[in-house]
Amino acid sequence: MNNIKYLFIFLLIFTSCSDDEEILPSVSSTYSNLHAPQSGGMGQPITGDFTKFDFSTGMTTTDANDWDIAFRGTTIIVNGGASTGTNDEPIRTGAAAAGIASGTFASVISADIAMTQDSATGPAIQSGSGNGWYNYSGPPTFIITPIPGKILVFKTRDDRYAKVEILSYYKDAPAVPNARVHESRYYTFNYLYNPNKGNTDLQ
Amino acid sequence: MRFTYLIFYILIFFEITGQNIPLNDTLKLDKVFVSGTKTETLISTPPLNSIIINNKEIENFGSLRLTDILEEQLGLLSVPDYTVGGLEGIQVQGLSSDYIQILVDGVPSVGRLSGNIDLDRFALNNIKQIEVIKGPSSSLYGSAALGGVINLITEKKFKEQTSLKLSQTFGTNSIFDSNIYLSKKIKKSNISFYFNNYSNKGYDLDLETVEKTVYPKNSSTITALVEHDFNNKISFFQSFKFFNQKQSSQNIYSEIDEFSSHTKFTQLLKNKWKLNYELYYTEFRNDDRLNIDDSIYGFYDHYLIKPEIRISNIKRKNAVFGIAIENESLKRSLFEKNIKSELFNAFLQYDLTIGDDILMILGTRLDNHSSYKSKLSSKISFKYYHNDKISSTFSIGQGFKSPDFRQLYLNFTNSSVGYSVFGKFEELDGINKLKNLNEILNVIVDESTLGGKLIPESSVGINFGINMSFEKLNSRLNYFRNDISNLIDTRVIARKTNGQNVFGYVNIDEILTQGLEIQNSYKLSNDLLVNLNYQLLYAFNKENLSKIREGNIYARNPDNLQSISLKVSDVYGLPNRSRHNFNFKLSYLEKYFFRLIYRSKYGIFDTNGNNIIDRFDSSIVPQSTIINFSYKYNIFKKLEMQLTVKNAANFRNVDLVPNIYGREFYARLNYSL
Repeated sequence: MNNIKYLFIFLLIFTSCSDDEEILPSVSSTYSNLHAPQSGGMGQPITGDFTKFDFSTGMTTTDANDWDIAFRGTTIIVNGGASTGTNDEPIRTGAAAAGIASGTFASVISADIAMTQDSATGPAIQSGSGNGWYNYSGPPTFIITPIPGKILVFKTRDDRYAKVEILSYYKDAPAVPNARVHESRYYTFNYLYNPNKGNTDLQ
Repeated sequence: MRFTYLIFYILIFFEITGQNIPLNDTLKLDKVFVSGTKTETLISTPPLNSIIINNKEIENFGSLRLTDILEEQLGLLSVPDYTVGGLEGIQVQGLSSDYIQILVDGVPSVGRLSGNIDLDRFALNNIKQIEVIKGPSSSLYGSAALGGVINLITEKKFKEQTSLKLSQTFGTNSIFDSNIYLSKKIKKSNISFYFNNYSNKGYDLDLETVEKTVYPKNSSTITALVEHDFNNKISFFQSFKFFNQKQSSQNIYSEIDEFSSHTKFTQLLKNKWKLNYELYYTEFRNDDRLNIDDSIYGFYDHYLIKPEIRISNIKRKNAVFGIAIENESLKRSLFEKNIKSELFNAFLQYDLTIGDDILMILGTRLDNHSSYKSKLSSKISFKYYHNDKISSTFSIGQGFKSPDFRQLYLNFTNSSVGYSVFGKFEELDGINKLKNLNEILNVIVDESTLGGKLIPESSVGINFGINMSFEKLNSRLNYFRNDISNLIDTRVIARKTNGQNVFGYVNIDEILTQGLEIQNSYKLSNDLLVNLNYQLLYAFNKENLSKIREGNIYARNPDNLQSISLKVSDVYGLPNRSRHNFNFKLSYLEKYFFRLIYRSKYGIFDTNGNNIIDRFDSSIVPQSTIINFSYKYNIFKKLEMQLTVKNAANFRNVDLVPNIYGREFYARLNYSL
């Protein structure tokens, strides 16, 4: 039994060494309270800067190029494609794209799904209740709920892959949000980032 | 738990059927039931799943409005409409009030606000009995009888001595209910006049919000009725109803005016043939005005005129043939234009007895409507007498509901949030107008599907029952199943540049409600009568159910907010349906009336974003018990006092059950001359 284990380890090392570049481990983490404010709305044009996020650092950024996805209110855009035509959108300089997979966070194991980029017809992650990542309850509760079972899958600006499950749109991710009490436009999400170029594995 | 009760029931059933009871011929001939066939039938015979509530029960329970007495019946639930404060709809066999036709003396009431007819519009003192048919009845009553029919039968035969009944009720939340009911038989005429005034000051369950839960209202009803026999062959009937309701809320003052006139000539021909000419007119007008400047905020004016001719043969084999025209018009603030529609219908119903022990009703009706495809609905019902104590009933019927005016003609844009909703006929125009204003980002459905026709929602209902009738015990076990297809729902048809959606209507959903009803009434002694009733109910959207079975519906684990796949046992099914309903009634000495109504837990709406009500949602109402008690005694010979406590256990759920105030007390004085 031990022999087989050693053989297995040996084979692993052997395979790794035979490739020129090393396979880096995927990074799995939770980002809490990404603040994504906006101005306008309620019939007025929406304005304000998007909050940009970089998967490789796991942090928000204000850099003009080194970002993958960006948030403003309920809208999520990617650093790839063309402007959707709203105000104050950052210039897209990368090759990012996005798609939505159905499943639990663990059950989505590959980024081999249909992806699109932002364009004049709208962001790759479609906006509006029930179309993309969230449902809006309307009266009487007026709650934005991330749709359960919707896992956002991204290609980053530089051809890496990541998956994101948005857990909450409210500050400190309350289990039962109340629109009258909890502050909105604070994203909490789980993500897994595979830093290996072109590798679609998301386990 | 439910299986225990089922087994219990089956045990009782075999216990009783095992006994050999001598046959005899006792039928009570004084009570009749008309809703089942549009002609008078003996109560004991209709092979339909029905409830008959007589005026004695209405009086004994201290019921003021139609809602009050219906919600005391097994399987009839009064469900709040969450969009209009104080409005409730009645649920029958798990089908919502949109599918229940409300009739008065066989003619339909109009004025549905968000699908519900406000049952508080109906005062009860002049009602002889209320007949409820559970299950599709479109073969006789057409559209909106998809799930059943509630028919209020007014009292029409009076004594020669003038009868004057006065009653006054005082109740919690400043409820005042006054009734004057005058009736008399003069030679060959029966005449009655009824006046009711009802007012309350509403209530507020959530003091933190500016809005009250239910706003004060004041309504008046006047009904006048005359029935005259010209001779043995020709009789005439005329009734008028006026109804006015005023309700004023935070910003809006709302007034409803209703008027209806119902005329009927009945002519007896040779060989027991009978002709009925009927003319019915009704109007429902609702104006909402802003309190600040009295300007019109919304209006809803609905008119219906309906002539009907029926010919029937009332021998042992009973046949009815009828034709009717319904002309409707609606002016409504959210509609682009005034709506007119015309419906022609013809129906045929045939009752027959085969041998001595099989009763059968065959019925079919054709509805030919100006704005949807014509529709044929049929129903077959059987009743088989195993012996004079035990009988089985079986009925299978079709029901349909035509697209309502809102689903066809609505043209609405929410000014604060910015979404739009278009009825089917407004879709193309609406989208094009928004396109010209550059408000449309993209249309997300095939544009050729916009603006087409909606087809009526349709149902097939099955009821299978076993009835047992003994000296002291009456029992009934009934299985029901209602399959509804082509249910009309909203869908997103386009996205707007403001990030909001444009909604249209489409035939999409299929739902299923099925279950068991068990009713037992037991006469323990001459003074003590007990009713024990139970309903088991499963109500699901079929597509959602199959998605859940495939593991494709998710919810969030409240501990870590991560998605998990749901199982069938995690799900509640359609909103506001309880799996188990118990209904217990006890009457003692015709003076004390105790009732207990139990509902198992149920969900109201989705809160975790999967559009399905599951155990992780925060809108689950725990099991609840409503206890009502009434007591009456005679102060003098003609003056009676009645005291009622409703919801004695003070069940309340401020957030989720706004139609239940809490414990309520009523005192009522009845004076009869």
